[in-house]
Amino acid sequence: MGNKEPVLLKKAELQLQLVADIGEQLLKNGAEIFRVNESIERMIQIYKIEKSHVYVIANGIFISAKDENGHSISEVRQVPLGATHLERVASLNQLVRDICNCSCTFDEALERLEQIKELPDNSFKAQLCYCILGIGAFSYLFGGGVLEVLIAIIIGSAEQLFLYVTRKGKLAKLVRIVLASFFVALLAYATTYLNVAISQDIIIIGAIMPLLPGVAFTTSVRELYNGDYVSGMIHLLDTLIITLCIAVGIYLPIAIMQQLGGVI
Amino acid sequence: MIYLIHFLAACIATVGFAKLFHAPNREILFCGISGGIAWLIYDVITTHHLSQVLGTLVAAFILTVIARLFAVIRKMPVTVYLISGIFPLVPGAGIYNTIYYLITAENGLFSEYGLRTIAVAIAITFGILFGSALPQSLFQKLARNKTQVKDSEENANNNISEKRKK
Repeated sequence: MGNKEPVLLKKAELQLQLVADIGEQLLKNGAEIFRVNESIERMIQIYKIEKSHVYVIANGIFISAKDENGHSISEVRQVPLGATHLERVASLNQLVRDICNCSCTFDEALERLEQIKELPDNSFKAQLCYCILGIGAFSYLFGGGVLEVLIAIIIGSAEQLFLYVTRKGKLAKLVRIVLASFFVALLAYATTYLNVAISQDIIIIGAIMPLLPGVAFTTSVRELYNGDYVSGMIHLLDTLIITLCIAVGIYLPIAIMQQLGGVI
Repeated sequence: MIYLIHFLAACIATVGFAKLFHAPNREILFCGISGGIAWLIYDVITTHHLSQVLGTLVAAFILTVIARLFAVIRKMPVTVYLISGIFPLVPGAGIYNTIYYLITAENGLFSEYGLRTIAVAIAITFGILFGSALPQSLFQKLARNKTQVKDSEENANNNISEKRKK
């Protein structure tokens, strides 16, 4: 502070910043650890930044290097676990390829990175349509008849609505998952009062599919295979905790209904 | 053929969930096929009364192989196809049944489903592990007539570099 002239970042610092930014975006959108690590290392090699060392874990990036004058530079990023966005990962992967082929200048890379950050999430309507497709088809696969598929779709839509409405609120991710599966099970068991011969089991199994931590589990397995035990454990814990939350959410309505002497 | 209908239904289901993860539109067909094949293999094995765990193991293995093949052909990260295709195999039914029998105090069934769910999760793990263990050069050879993989970039991106494994 007190310096009237802006500090001009040296070229290596700017390049390292870009590299760290790209790594951060890759990590945030669900790329694997080794992919982030190798991407960063290859970009650093292309930019000829010297004496660099990279360490990536599931929620952080640490890079140290030396600039043209031999001064130490470093980048640290903390990356909270985020939702997977495969299109951004694929585009970032292509950006890294282009940087390493030298078919992309530094300024182009900066611009493309901004564009990739702008790639949109699904609108609520689109999210709903995809869920309906997924839940409907899965309910059929797990042995549901027309009625079960329809009810699963309706309950699944209500669940997505709940998740959408609470996405920016103060509720923690885990609490939202418990509540979502609670509502799913509650609504599903409420249909027993309709006195129609349907299987509530299939409805619930179909409707909780979007909540299941398939991504976290797959990522965890691949990271453990690669020897990234810290990141593997992070994602494994994520999987276990989410599964427990879903289990607790389903448990509550059934237990309540048992107490009330409902038909289970 | 009932298997064909199930295959198509699984493809549609996989596409639905793949889009939840914002899979690129160009790859949707391949994501769907990955999931469809995974479910098909699982279906065929379980309807012949072989164990669910075995079915999941083989299906996860084949899924990983196919995901790696598509990744080389389409020049996309493996995760795109692997994450989409894993959905039919995730034991949601196992989790639900475990909880259900816990509450209704059927301890025998609770243990059975609980252990089976864990076994299925481990089966997925080892299916992916074995699928990842195949050498990357195999996939590049299989995809050679489709695309010229210029340098070892897919090698680096899709497989573990040798020095890290040791």
